[in-house]
Amino acid sequence: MLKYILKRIGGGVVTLFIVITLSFFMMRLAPGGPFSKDRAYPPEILRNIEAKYHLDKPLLVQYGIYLERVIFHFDLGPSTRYADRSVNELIASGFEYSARIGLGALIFSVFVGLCAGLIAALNHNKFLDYFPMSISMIGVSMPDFVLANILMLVFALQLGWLPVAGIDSFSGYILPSATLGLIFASSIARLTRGGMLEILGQDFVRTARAKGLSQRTILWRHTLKGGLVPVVSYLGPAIASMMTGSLIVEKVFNIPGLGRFFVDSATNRDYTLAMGSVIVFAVLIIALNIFVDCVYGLLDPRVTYD
Amino acid sequence: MNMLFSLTFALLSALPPAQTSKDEFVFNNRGEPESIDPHFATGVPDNSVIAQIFQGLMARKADWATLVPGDAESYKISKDLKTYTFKIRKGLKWSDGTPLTAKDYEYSWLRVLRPETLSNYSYWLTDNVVGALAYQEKPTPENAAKVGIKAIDNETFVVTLNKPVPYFLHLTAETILAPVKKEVVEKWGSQWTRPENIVSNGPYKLSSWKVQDRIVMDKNPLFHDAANVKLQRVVALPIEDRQTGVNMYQQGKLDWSGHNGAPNSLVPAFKANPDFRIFPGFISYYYLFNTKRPPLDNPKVREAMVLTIDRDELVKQVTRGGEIGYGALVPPHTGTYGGAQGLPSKDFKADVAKAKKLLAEAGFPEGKGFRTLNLLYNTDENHKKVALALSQMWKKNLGITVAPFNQEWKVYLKSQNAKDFDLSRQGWQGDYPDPATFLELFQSKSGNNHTGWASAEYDKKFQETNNMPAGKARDAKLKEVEELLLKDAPIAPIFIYTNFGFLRPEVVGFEENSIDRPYVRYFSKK
Repeated sequence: MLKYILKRIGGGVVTLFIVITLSFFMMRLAPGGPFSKDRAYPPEILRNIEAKYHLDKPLLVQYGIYLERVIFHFDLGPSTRYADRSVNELIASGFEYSARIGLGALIFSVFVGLCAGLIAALNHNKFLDYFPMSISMIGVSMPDFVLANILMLVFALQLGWLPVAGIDSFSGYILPSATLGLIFASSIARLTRGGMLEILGQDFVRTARAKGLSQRTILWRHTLKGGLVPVVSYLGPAIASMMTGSLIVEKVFNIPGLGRFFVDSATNRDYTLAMGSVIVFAVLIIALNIFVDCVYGLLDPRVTYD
Repeated sequence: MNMLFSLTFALLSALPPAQTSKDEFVFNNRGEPESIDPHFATGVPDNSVIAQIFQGLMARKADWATLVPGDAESYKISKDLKTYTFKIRKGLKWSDGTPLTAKDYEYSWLRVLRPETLSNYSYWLTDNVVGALAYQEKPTPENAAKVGIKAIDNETFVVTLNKPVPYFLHLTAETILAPVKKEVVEKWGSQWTRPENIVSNGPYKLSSWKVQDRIVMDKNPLFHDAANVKLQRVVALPIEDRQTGVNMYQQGKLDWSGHNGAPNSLVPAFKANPDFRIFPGFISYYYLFNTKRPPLDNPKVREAMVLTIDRDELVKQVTRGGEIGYGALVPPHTGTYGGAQGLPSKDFKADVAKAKKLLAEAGFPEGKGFRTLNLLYNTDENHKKVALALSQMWKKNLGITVAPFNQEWKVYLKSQNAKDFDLSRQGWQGDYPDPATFLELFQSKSGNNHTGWASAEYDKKFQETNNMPAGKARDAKLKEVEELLLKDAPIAPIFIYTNFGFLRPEVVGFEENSIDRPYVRYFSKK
């Protein structure tokens, strides 16, 4: 197992390096730069700005400087857009909020998704299958900005239970977490149902039933672990998405999270912030996928780490 | 989507609004400031914050256009209009209690010029102040000594211009020429603007800055006019989503929802709400013609296209944000200017008839033989609507085809700089309340003139207005300059933007200023 984890971490480092390299050069291929503005900089000022950010150097040299800074100093550089801030600082500040909302969304989506999926699977082709699956289909296909506005309308504006936006208190996290969570809950419900139906149709389940085991025992002891394998593999990248924030949810609820930086930095050609966001996202995806692959073994006895 | 907005608004109207605190002003700042270093910052959110925590030699009333003494209690202008002597108030203090003197201004204005400050607006000094350009190009102590920026003593600050600049006092009231404290800037470097480091001289001081969340500014008891600053706290929220601005206002979390606070299409419905304010902005919206490309190199073609834009129809039916359809560049409410006469008359039918004739004279009767023109705009739903509407107008009135295409913002800027377009959208917000802030754009050597149009006569006449004292004669001359531009038509003016939003009725002292920058020091609450 340890050998497997070390091997995966080694692979992850290589993947991360490739992601950084590709992202670095792809960002530079995009037309326009961080300092192209509608109010043009005087040429001599532009030259100085470019020198400050090393943009006057050949691309390969810039790449070397960037790698050296990231690898040896854990420094993601200064933001070219938010001149008073470093990328480390921006990401740390945004990640704090995105992670809190992501954690809320994770708990919400796993709870709602698993419950709905299990109910549907255990009531295959009955009303309690069709109903949660229809709702989850709506959840999967509904754009997040519509969902966010509907929740805001109902719970903040009509019922007045929650704040419309901002995160002054704990209640401020509920609507954004629920919005984000509902989107993922729909997929989790469908995956849970699919996984459970597949397991419930297996011979060993029939044998268990024939032995006279109760439905509850069959579910908890024999089928749940195996039925959840597809959900677990989905959760790896899903948790990374939840934790790194959603642009729409953050804009609608005015959350100072990471999602805004991720998208805005690309459109603003804030090279360092965009690269920083990519690195955070890539590290999370890689780490969570390794974690998920390790969890497989606990859930499914057929999985070995040789 | 509009239905959703309407439903929200209907529900909101029924809610009893909670209140922000009685001694604070909370406003939507539209976005996160990129910087609050007054010498570097350029954005609207940046300047709305800087205007609360810094003050220049001159200051502004809440209407933005009216100047009042700031750190300078008085000033004298020499007979040749080239030397300004400012008398700095006695006993002025920075927010850390140390004295603020004319020497701070000398340091600060030289800092604007130094290349490492990366000031986009340093041209305000390099264009106008003796020796400033040489110092920027070679910032040596010898060149610094030759710059016309001098602290004679602690209370006397003298600026020597290389020409009379009639709007110079307005520049001294803008954030770019505010003072910064040398010791703080040099000690903390790029981190000097952090709440824990910053020292400022305005009516408020920075207390906390949570990125993308809020900026909190508390009253500066050492501000020279602190006795008249009523509200204890200003909070700027970086709300980018338009609906969120409205929602937060109605839930009592904002005192001013700001320009982003309402979707354009609902402006007619919002007008019935007594809290809703709508007023002319200081942004002109126009199309650029690439005058280097045939057939747009022919002024008759350009004039024909300018004449066949039905501006009233456009703002009523298409943009619907209360914009003011306008056939000239400089907003008519700019200072005492009053506005120039553009090409369009009040009789649109007559204009269309004239345009058809012009197009025929240019060799394209009823649009025959006219190639398809492309029209570049940056990706945005409202710009798209305008582009499609104007294309239809030109098709209908002139029989010519204009094909709009969009590009993402940075790509659009690159195309515009490379003049890779036939027509291109542009919007321009003035920096100071004088027509020069718009008219300087179309000088031959301006880095912001993307039309390819160059007129020695325009350049000469425009420069002449800079040698005249402010007043009627200069306004008349400026109109001549603008009309020269409009007659040659390298641009097609379309409309002037409006500012709008919801203002809490308890707020007293708020004035509708055209750049929508709140000057909270004048506000109070009932």
